[in-house]
Amino acid sequence: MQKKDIDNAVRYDLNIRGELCEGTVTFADGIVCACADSREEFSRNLEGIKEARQFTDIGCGRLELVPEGCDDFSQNLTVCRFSMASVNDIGELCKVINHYIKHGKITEVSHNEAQRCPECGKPLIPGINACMFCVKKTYLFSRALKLMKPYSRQLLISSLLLILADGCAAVVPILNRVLTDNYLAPAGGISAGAETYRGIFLIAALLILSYAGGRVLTIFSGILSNRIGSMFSNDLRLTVYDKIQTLSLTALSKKTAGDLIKRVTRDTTQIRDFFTDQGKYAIEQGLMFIIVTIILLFTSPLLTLLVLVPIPIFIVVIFKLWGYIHLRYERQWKMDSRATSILHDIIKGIRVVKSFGNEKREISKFANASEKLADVSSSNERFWSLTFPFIGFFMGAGEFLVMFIGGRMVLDGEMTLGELTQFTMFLAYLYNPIRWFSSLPRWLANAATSLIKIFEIIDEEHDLKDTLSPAPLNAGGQIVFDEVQFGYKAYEPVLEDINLTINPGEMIGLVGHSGAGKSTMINLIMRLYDTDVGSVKIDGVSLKDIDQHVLRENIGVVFQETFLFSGSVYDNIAYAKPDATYEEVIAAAKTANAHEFIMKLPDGYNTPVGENGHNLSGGERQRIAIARAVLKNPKILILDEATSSLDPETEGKIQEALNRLTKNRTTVAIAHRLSTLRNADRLVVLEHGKIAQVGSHQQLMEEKGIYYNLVMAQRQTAKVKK
Amino acid sequence: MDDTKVTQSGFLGLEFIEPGDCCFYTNPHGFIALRLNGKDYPRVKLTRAYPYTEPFAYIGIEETDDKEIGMLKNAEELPAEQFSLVRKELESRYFCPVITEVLSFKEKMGHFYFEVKIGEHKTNFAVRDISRNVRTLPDGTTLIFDMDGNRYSIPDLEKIDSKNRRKIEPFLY
Repeated sequence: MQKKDIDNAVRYDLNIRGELCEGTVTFADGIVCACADSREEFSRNLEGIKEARQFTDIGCGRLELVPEGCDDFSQNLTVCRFSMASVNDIGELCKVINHYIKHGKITEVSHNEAQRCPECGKPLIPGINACMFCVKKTYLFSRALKLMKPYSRQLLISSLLLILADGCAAVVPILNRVLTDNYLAPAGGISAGAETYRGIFLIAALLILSYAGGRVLTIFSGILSNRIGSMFSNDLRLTVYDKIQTLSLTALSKKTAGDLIKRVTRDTTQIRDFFTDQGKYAIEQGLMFIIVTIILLFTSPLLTLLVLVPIPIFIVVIFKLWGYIHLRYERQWKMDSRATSILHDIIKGIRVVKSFGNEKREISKFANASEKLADVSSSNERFWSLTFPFIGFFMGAGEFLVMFIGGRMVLDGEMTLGELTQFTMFLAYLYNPIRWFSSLPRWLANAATSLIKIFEIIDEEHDLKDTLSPAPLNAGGQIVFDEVQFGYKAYEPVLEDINLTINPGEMIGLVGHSGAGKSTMINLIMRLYDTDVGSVKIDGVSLKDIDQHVLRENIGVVFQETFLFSGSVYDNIAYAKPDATYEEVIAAAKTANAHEFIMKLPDGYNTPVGENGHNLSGGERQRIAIARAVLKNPKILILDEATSSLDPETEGKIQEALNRLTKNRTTVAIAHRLSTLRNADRLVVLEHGKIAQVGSHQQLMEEKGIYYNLVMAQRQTAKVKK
Repeated sequence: MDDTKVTQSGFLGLEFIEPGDCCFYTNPHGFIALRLNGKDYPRVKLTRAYPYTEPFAYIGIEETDDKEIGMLKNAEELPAEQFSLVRKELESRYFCPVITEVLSFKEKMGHFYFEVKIGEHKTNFAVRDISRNVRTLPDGTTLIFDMDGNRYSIPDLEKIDSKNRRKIEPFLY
């Protein structure tokens, strides 16, 4: 897929008859045109067209043009059909067309969230921008090696130590050969003189020395590489964590919290393991392989070839077998998880099971799954116990062959007994690297995956860029929405044509059904997201021109759910102002009506809260949040459902605290319970992402519009509850 | 549905539209429309209640704003011409292409990449969380849900080449 096709062209994949095709919808010069398999399916200008609209069916959708004067869509013009693979792109195009209809301006389709690899066209894994098929592993690892650069000296020393240890190990078979050939079975017959004993003693001493030397070197190398590993993964963790902290919510919301945590902890560990453990082994085992092969070749080229030739075959067999075993165990794992989930379901829903008298049915369901699991696992065990002895046998076959042919060579005088002993000992050294190399692809794949994920975080561009010359903000607190349009997903505008001026010190209540766009407006004021069209201004300065840090210093927020960090009550209130004095915190708590309950806690302001801490009620948490906001002393205050889900008495206390807080501050409040907005200067009623009504409670009640209906509906439910 | 004649079913009194009372037709703009007891609905939406097990029975009929007009108990009871109209509409609304050949099946990072042939058309897609997104229906059809929200079906797995079938099979239980 090329990004710079013709202006505003997006792909679609179903022709009018619903068959798969290669199609392109273009929008240029005010004409919408759809071509499937280079045949024109649709072409029309936008005269008399009210809007372009995307209809989703099941597994597919349609792009239609809605003519003016027809509200039931029965006279729509179908532009094209598409499967869900094209839904985002078509949505973007839809937005461009509608923008053109409304404002007469052509904007470019943004392919902001690529879902397929631009090179091979395969789907991308959400949250990862690199294609698993196209990414070059050599690039990944060479880049990762650069990360290791600060440790290159230590790494070098650690590797040198390992190589020396290898050398020590390689000496052992050679000493054995000397022992056999010179003293135990020399060509001229054994001579048990004092010199022989001295020689044997010397060799024994050298053997002990090389064993001990090898061990000591390995220990030192291990200590060193562990230290490098810890420092390296610490660096990596901090880099990733730092980056995550600075990313915008848009970038973060594409990934789950669990995913991000994994990237900081698991992926960095994975990479460390690869470089420090596997990397070390790669050097060690690779070197060992080369040294041993050379020595073997010198001892007997014929025998060496005999041993080396089966190795490629052996490696291929191991690979194939791994794939097969992996599949078998995957199946067992799946059966296992199925049985577990059935059990989990039954036990969790035991009340339902019992009350419907379905115990027998559930037991047989579980028995069935359990039986299948037993079948699969016993078949796997059988497979395992049958194949592996054979593999071991074939692996040893080389040794038997060497014994047989080597033995004959010794008898024929082509080789000494010592050389044969040395040969067989080295053979064992040779198989170790091979075994290790056969598991290398798995290690490589795991590390590559982790590297991709880590680099992706490191490479993520800030989508909410700060300007180079931020304007100063002397917040008087005026907020202006100027022709704002915004949507979290490209094809679903949440807010449209929002024009609103909020005066300094004014309290605005945002009202509307769920999903009308209230929280979105708040998110835009805090610049957690940037507007698609138009701008939000504070005191005449566009948010994009204000330093984000300065902006957030001037805005205080109380959310519906208050998150308390692990720490004391004091820590949590002072979160807004880390250098707050004890007096300030108490004063803030008093303003927030929180002081009273905090003093009732045995440990007062030192009471630990948050995870593993003292359990505070919803109302208490809320008051701590208000105290936070009081301490911050912001010019602009945002209350997002600050008083919902509280009992009336607590709500009264919080309302009282909020009244103190909102005084002389520009306040934007969202509340489902309309009565809590009675102090608002103006109410803004949102409907389907547009401002439907603005006015005081009194005015809006007289208008008998949406607001009136909402109030009446709430009064009804309140009556029912009573 | 005040003046609509309906059939009632079972003790809960579920009501259905009589096949004789309704008439499906194609409106001048190519959309399926309905005349029911003299009332015209210039464009309607047909929805399956049991898309996998009863593709042509229990069909919900809705207006374009999703308001339900009523439910057809069995579309096959409609006159042949109308049934074929309903069938065509349902089949175009429910897009679930049949995979005729699996060209390759590979795992990358817990995502499973399929390269398949649908008729003569080659395409590829990826499936996340494969144990959840590959399902076997009681009639043996295998359904695959890809990451984009598309569905694919393999009516008979035995017809898929054995190498790829063996790779897929462990996920089917």
